Amino acid sequence: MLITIRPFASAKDALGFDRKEINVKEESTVSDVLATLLMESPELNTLRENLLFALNSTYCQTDTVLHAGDILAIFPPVSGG
Amino acid sequence: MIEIKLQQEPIDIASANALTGTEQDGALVTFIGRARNKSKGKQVSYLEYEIYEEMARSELEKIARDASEKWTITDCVIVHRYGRVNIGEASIIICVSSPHRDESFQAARFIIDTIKKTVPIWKKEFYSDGSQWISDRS
Repeated sequence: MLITIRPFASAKDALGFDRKEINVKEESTVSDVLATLLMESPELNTLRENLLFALNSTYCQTDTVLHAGDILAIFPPVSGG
Repeated sequence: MIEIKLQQEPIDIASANALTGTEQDGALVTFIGRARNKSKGKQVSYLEYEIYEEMARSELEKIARDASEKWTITDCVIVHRYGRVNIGEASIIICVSSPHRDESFQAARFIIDTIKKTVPIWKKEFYSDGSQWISDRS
């Protein structure tokens, strides 16, 4: 199934894209997708412990199960204001 | 009334204040966050903010609604910039009105503190010799 990855800030720099459709197995979790991204872009490793995730614009956990068409955002702790 | 604006252009502080408050309000509290020229001993040339716009908007609306439930406030206007922000310029303005001052002070404090924890906006500092993403909630 296809999902869209949207990394922001330092996660975007590490991954080298700001939006990408990827093919993942049915019932994949956020953790599964992260593992794939870490293999492809080891630069993401330095951010790994602090990464936050949002599914379709709502914060989610690493064990959240993904569905076709989902938009998964990946980013470091926020620093707005 | 809750109004959220995300914009690249400089914030018009007078307009944001003018949008906020009704005749029943005896208090209008405005918080302005500005780009400073120093960060951890380094001289900052300017800032850039990156934003996840759809989510930032929904998180800001949620924070404003939460504040309206916690305190008796009438209006809440929040404007946050993205893109380049020069030193001394406002990156954010929060205007809150209420019949009495305590509610507006407390709500404005809650809103800025929560924004710094949950709203998907990231600051990058630019120096004369490079740049750095800021992720430490400072």
